[in-house]
Amino acid sequence: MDQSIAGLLSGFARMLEPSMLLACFGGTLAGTLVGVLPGLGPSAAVAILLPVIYGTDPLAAIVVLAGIYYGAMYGGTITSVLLNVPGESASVVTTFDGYPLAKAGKAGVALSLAAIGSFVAGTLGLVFLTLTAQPLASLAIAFGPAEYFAIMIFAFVMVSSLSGGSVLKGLLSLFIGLLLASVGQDIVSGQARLTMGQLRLMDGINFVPVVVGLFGLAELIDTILNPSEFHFGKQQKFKLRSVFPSRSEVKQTSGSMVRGSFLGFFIGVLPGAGATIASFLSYGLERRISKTPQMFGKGALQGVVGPESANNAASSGAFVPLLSLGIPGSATTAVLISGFVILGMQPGPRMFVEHPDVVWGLIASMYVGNVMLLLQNTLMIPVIVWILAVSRKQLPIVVALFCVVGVYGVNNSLFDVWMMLGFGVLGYAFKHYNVPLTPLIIALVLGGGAEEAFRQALIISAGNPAVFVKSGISCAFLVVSVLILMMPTITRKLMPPSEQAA
Amino acid sequence: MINRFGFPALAFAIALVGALAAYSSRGLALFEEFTVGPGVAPVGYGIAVAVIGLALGITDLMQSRQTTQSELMPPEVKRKALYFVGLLLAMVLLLEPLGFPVVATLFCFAGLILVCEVRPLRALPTAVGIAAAFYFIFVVMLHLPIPNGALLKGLT
Repeated sequence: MDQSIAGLLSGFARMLEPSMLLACFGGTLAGTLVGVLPGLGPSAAVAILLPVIYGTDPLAAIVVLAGIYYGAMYGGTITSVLLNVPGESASVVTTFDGYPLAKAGKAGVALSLAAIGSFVAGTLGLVFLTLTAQPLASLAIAFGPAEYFAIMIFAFVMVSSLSGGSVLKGLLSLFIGLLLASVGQDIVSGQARLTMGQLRLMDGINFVPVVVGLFGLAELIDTILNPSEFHFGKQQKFKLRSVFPSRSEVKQTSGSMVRGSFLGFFIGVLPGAGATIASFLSYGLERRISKTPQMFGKGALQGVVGPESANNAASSGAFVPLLSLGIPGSATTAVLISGFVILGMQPGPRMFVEHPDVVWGLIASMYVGNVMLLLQNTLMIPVIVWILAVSRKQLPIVVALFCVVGVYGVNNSLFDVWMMLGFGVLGYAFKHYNVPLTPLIIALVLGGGAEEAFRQALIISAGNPAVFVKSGISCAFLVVSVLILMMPTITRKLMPPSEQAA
Repeated sequence: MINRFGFPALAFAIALVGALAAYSSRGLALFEEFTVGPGVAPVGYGIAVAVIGLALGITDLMQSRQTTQSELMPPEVKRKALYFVGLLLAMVLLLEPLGFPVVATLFCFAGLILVCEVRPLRALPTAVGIAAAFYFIFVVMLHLPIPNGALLKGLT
């Protein structure tokens, strides 16, 4: 505990530098805009920025990327409430009650309470993160290759089965990612694998073009094919004075904030179950315990505040497995891992030993960023809405140009740009046919490590595969993984025959 | 028709890639002393991709499908997406011979008109502005060696 507090204080000392405050402000503002602009999600925005962070100060780069991630959770509320258009998936549920509130002339109150809820949840989530990340990392530092392999299998299975839709499609995406991760020189024997005689593939597939293509370009194509038509009407115009909620409104929603914080944080910690699931679960919970459930869908403040608190707490929770175990829980955290790797760091328990300044600086920046976001999302709403109105038309062209220039700049190679285009088209096809992209990217990032851990564990045990079930931790993770994979079959078997037929 | 067979075609193509990956890795050793060889991962993952791809493709063909979202899309929206991808391909093809400043301006100009439906008179200054801003940020400030093409080669 003392270690965590000392680390956090040193992080705050670093964050007081003007360049860090500027990075934090830039990242959170960019995140708010990403959340506001339909068609550009946080994973795409972080992916697009990856090529730019080469050679920059590691902490400043990570602060910007993380700021985009949690900032997008705040920004998504604005278009959900004002225009009935969710800026990103975690804000879909906010439209249910946010837009009716805007139509009733309560847009200002809905937005400010959502921002306050997001602030409370984000900060509570950070307190949990501060308290849990280092102890978990200290525990994980004693893990051997068998435990690591089991944890990675658990992450793969969770992400494939919880990404939504068919488990088989999730597994297809996962194995494509693993196959891509096996391209390049073998770590043990040095033999070339799947390189097709190309020397540039000997180091493996560079994940920047893959990530930018799958998330950035695919999302742009999707935006062009599914444009969100919205018009700025009366409900989008409100005075700044109207953003201050009354005492009774704060009292009415304070329970939703706290419930959303706890629920969101714990959902966020689980790999695969990210902010979107947290926001939907929170909405369901709020409606179930409400004294006026009939108001939900017609303009209940709790229906906005609960889910918004939950998605922000989930984004803090997602940093626990990322920083302590090196396991990303969502698409955006998987892309963030790529950012860490580009900057020469490997997220995981050793981060607290090898790069404590970056870890604690990042956590401190999130506290500071939450305050900045609270101000940005209350006082700057009219400016943000104006930016949305002005820039949304040109957005696909500017972002596409950014993708091409950024990816070219990584290795000064057109091969990478062609690869990005190929993965962009594949990414769109996957989106169109509901094949989740998150398992692919997580497998691409962690696949090499999983294979290495598997082979190391076998070498240590002189080839005895029982090594994976000897340790309680690895055995537990593997058993849970098998159970999760078998869950659909078990549930079907337990159903009455009439429902099975249906 | 394309939409009806779109997913099975994608799934079978992926299955084929998986099978080819497994086949081309057959020369790699599957076992080494005390551990698995370098061939296990590409062969194993390739087979898994092939099997799951085939299973998904066949299952989809056997199911009766309802009208897909893309069948409901108006043709002009589909055309815009095709223009966008086509313009991107053209930009990458012409990047080295024509250079970034020219290609970026042309891409933005054509993209703004064809994809974003901006009027040509407004698109031209916007395109020049965007390309100039990119050139200033990436080439002048960040010193990114983006190809300048024959036009600017003599100037730099």
